[in-house]
Amino acid sequence: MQDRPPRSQSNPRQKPYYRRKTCRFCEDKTLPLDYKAPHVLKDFITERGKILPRRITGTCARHQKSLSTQIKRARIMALLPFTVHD
Amino acid sequence: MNLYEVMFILDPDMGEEEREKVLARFKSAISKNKGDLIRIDDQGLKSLAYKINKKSRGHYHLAYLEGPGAMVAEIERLLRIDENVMRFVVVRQEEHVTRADLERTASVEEKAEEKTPGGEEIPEQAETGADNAG
Repeated sequence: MQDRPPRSQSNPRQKPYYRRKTCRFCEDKTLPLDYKAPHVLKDFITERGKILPRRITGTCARHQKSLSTQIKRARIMALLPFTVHD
Repeated sequence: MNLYEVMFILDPDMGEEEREKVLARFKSAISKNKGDLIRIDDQGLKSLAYKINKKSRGHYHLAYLEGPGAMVAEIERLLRIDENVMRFVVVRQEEHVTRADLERTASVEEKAEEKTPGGEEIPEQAETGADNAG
């Protein structure tokens, strides 16, 4: 899906090259996926506090599932915001 | 018997004496319901991500228990009744976690702290990827 080869920059109609995203929790087994580690979860929410989709972060299905659970727990415990107002 | 993790936030404005009482009640509820307290950590005052009961700070506690499922219901009831408990969450530990693990686990935050510096790169790249995909 996201692993197209690099192409020439001269043709504007061609998609530019971008690196394939990988699941950070698969890459780094020591990275805690836990509601008690909100600074890790922070990378996976928007500035407004919404959960970022897999398509943006590259997280695998299994980890995204547990990620969303952990973010929701962290919200309950006021470690992460439900929403960020202006 | 299952292993559980209980995190709860106590009112930061209550006295030390009262806090001891709440913890004592918590402990006796565990033992009365055939459970066993493995460890309880006082994580100190932390600022909350949003205000709860008009307070912007809370006194966080993290406890690990072993006990039957019926104990959990009883503990949840107790925590819900107590007005000094601002929030709580009970999480059952996965099968592979052993009691010994919980006895010695350092808090997750500390371990994770070392990891964070490299963590800022990915979301940014992801953002550009999304623009292209759209």
